[in-house]
Amino acid sequence: MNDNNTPQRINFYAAFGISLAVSLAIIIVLTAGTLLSSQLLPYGYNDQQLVLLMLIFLGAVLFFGLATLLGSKYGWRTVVMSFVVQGFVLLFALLIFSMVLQKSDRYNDRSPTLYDGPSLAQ
Amino acid sequence: MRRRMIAGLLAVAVAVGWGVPPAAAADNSLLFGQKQAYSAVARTDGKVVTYAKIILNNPSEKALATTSFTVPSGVKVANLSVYQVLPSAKCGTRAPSSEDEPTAGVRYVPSCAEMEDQLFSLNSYYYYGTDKLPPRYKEVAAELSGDTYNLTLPEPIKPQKRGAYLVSYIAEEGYVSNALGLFSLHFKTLKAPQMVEEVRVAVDVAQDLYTKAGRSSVSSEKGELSLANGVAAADGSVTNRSLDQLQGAIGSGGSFTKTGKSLVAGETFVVNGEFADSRWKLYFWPIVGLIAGGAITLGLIVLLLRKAEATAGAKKSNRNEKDEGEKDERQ
Repeated sequence: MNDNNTPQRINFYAAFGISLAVSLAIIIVLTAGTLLSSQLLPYGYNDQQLVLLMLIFLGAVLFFGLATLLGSKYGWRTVVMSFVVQGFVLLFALLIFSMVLQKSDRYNDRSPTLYDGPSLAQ
Repeated sequence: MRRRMIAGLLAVAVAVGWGVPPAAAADNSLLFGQKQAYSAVARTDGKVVTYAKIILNNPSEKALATTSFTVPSGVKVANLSVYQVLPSAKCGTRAPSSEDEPTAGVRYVPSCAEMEDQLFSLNSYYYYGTDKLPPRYKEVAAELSGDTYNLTLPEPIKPQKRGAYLVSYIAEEGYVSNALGLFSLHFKTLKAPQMVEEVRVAVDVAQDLYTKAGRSSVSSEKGELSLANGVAAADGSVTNRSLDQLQGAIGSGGSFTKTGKSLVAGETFVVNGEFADSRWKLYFWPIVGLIAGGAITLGLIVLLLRKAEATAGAKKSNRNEKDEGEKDERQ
């Protein structure tokens, strides 16, 4: 009879959909922001740290705010679930990023153009 | 008792000594291996202008008059020329004198021994004052047999001494492949008949090309250098200041450098890289991957949210039906 009396179940489709969308938005914003700040501001410039701090704040706002906004109509359980899934997705993305960056530094190349490094062949 | 112990120890020593293989041939020893340095300039027509400096050791008691190198399979070379690098003629004819020693107020002039060290090492740089002891270059006769060039050195390398020769060639095929304007470089070093202790490869691209590190900084002057021009001396050798600078710069600079160590005889060192005539082409595959990944993710998001809406709608209608049923029961 009353919506408040029936316990709302987690809408897994919504949780996964929202977390994917929010994670994508966070990745795009952080990557674009970092690239732009590194291109526009000179290396070691103090404002770069400020921009980084603002980007982290923006990421947190997107993480909690956007997910809450999108998931509110599915209930708080779904919102919490989307936070958890977002965390995993972002952690996975971070892992991929770190692996890619580590690969380009492995041979101490002066140019990131190299993809294989030296190899021996008969 | 002591005699028996000594005899036993001797027997063991003899047995161990018997098992030791004879001393490895100098050719296979890493201690006396070659050192190689390469400077390669890649171009969009698929050709790679290559300069190489090969440093040889002669550990034997006899002078070394012949040597060879083999072009890696699949590589077609043109305009190949080989020149032996020789110390100044002055160094061969007289002992170092006080004239060679540095004096106050005068630029430092290297001794003959220092000049040889400079000439026959990979870490060579251009000494100020080399005009006093200019290195000489003599053309080497190269006979092609299959893919192997057999060289007869004009001045044999003396026993227990080092020597070097320069090779320049244009690799017309085998080093560069092109896919949609993105050029892939697979530079392969020349195969040596002996161990190669160290090999250094500096790769650069022509001025109008891009690498991810930035626009190339190679000057066109370097590409136009030829091993064959210079001032001829009486003994048939040439001295050439630009050649001095070139041979000192082989294996360093460029867009990127790679170093390999301990290559077995007959092996080649492969250096891979990418270059393109416009910057975006360098990022072609990452761009394609990002677009494809983004499209898949967006599709998945739309699918999941639609499904979520449908599930939420179904739950709502179920709840409404349940409420209406309860209402009817009460009435």
